[in-house]
Amino acid sequence: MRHLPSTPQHSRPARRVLRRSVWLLLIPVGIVLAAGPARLEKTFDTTRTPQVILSNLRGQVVVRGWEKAQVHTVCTMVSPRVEVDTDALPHTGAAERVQFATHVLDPLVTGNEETADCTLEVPLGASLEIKNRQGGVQIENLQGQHAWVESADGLISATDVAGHLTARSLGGNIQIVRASGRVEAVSITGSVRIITPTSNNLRANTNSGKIVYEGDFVPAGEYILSTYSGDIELLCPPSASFELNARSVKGKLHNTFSLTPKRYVPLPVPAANSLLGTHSTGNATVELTSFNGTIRVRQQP
Amino acid sequence: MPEQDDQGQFDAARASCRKFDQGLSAYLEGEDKPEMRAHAQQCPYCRVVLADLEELRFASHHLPLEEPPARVWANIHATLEAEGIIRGPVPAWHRWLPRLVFRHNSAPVSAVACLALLGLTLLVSPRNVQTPESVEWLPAGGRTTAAGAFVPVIDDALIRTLGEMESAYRAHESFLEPALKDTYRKSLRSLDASIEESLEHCQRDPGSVLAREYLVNAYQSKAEVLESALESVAR
Repeated sequence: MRHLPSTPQHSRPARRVLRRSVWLLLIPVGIVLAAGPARLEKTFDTTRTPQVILSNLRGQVVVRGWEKAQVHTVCTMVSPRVEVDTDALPHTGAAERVQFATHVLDPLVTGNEETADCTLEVPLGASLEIKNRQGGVQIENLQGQHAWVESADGLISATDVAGHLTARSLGGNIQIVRASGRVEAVSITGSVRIITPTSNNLRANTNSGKIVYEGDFVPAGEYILSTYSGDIELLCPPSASFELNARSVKGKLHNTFSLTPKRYVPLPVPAANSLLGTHSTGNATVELTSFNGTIRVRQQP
Repeated sequence: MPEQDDQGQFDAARASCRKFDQGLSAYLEGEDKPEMRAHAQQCPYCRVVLADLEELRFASHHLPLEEPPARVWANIHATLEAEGIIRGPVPAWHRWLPRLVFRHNSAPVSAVACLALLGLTLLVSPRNVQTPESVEWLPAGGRTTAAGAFVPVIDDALIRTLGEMESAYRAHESFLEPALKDTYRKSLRSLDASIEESLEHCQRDPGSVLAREYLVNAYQSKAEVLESALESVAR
């Protein structure tokens, strides 16, 4: 049995004071820890093609496709007064639909305290519906029927998405890499960047942001890019085969491709700057429009 | 012997508790069951359960009705149609009516109504109307245009409703978190600038099809942004 040496410093009253001090220190630490970030980790058995729905108030959302027929989620909430509700349907067996919804337990929780960062791993064939009010959304490696992503101001990034992709943002930028399904990207003040797509139907629209398209076109594909005041930059390989219809009300047009002029003009376009013609055999249709943004069509080095 | 009596009493109590459990949901739904109340008076455990459930029922009756987002209705409709439970296209007002009936907040109601009206008019508006008698006056971004300026595309009523949506949003935007409010403001400012500029261009050059398309698109985008803003405010 160990005894404390009976020195004056460790007399019984002194030890009592010491013990009390330790408790007094531990209580605030405990309170701080109790109010610290909360965490949720869950796994659901699903079909190979479930619908995954996430509605988040603020934070970063990452969704990745994986080989397993499971949805695995890890969410970290800044405040314990924010909760992520989960629901899987049907309740027994492999779920066809898995839903996540963040909500605040206390109406006084605002601003950064609403933050919940969520990472989801979902089956490759999953369809997504992600709404992140404030904050970025990153989706990767998905082959499901559709992926619908919305954010007010965060960056939306979609990489290797094969299904119908819809990305909508008010002020955030949108970046789409190697999309192979139908693509619709809409932002109001954010920019849209599309890199090496293999999609045959692509639409991008922004009011004051830029649009950058880097890559080739699929034969018989249709590509419609439109901005109001932002610039449009199209960078494609010299071998690209497309029919170009570029028009701007007040913006300038620059082109480095040799285009064969079209023999007819489908619509009279008075007072608009336009560039109509085909490059190579003109397999894909490319329509670029702006109000006063500059349109540049350039060959990739 | 007394032990057997105790066991018998316990079994009888358990049986009446089970019976109470079975009849509980019917009783809470309003069925006349005096034996439920009698059992609750005798059994402290069941009395607490009943009191809790009644309190919950009372509280839930006083909760405000939450309206799901438009997407939910669209999904339900699409699923029902896919499963063959409903057939063919349902008239738009049928789809919207239940939402309007259960709305308690006037701002989203007007937003939905305005959007429907705006969408309809944008769809049916003739793009190449040039005759002076068919053109409508269009104030730019809620401001009065110079006398004699006009743009054929969108009529007065729609501009007014869009203005009402904007007023409804402005009246409630203080409830939004500052960063989100700023995002909406920037978006609306950007669209207002586009509306103003394309409108001026259309006034100078009424034959510019592309400028008119931009004007229509800017109005459409503004309606969508306001709808989203009103949805955020209503939350």
